[in-house]
Amino acid sequence: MVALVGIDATEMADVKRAPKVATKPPRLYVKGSFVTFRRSNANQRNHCAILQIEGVNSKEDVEFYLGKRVAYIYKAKRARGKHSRIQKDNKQTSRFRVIWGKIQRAHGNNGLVRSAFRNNLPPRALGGSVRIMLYPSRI
Amino acid sequence: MPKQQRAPKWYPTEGPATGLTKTIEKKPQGVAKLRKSITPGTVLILLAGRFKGKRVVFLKQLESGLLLVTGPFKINGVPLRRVNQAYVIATSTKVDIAGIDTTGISDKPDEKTKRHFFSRVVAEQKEEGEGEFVSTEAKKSGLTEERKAMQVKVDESVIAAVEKTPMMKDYLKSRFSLEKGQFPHLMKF
Repeated sequence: MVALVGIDATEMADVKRAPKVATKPPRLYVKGSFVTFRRSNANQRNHCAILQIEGVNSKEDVEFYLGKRVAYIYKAKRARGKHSRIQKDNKQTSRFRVIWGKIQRAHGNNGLVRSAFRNNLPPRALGGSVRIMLYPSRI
Repeated sequence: MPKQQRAPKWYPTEGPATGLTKTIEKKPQGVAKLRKSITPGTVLILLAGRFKGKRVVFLKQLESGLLLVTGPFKINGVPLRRVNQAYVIATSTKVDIAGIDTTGISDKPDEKTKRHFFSRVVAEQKEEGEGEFVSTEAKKSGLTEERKAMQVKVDESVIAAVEKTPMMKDYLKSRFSLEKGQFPHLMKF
């Protein structure tokens, strides 16, 4: 309960307005994990990454995600200029880096998915998180 | 003894044109086909960019194939904007914008000026003073009066249609986000 005694007009204005709560940025991607490179027992094909998409457990469920873009996000020591389309003078830097990829097809019957990235995923990404975007959208 | 006709010393490397190779003329790339789920008045969810997650009203498909959308601006801050179909989810919610006039908005560059409604306008920087006292005026935003006027005009009719449906305004104000346990392949948009 705010004591209204002894507060002048300018303070009143501050008191009335509720503190602006920063809204959480919306999550517009599905969480996934990088399970393994495509491989047989002894041979590994690094150009194909097998991903597990959260909530996807069968081959039929995979259909929605075909062609969707995938991002593997990691942090680096060196801050790098962020890709800025419009404001070229305002160079934002960021330590976050992305490797982009695409979901190509289902892998097996249980909802795993084959994907290819622009550059192959580094081995330290194994078991790590990956973001499956909702675009290019077909709905 | 008659001089025998000698074989030519040089032969051309390529034989005469046989007409078997086709020169395929590059077909002009057509405009992207609009998805069946996207009709004028459909509420779309923007998936990427500055306004990701926002629900906007689809107005029409422009000449380039991009979609023209509006927030409306007063409701959720999204102006008249172009969006690619691939970066949009079409919901089954529709707003009735039957009578809206969007003829002034076009993507096609004018033949003379090479500009269109959405061309970027960069205000020239003015430098006042000389030497150490140079002060550059801040780059003005690329909003022309034409765009502002068109925004107000179009939004008027859209907002009128929106207010007819209960909760539509709040719906357009809200932002789409995936929550825990929500999977888009199981959702009905």
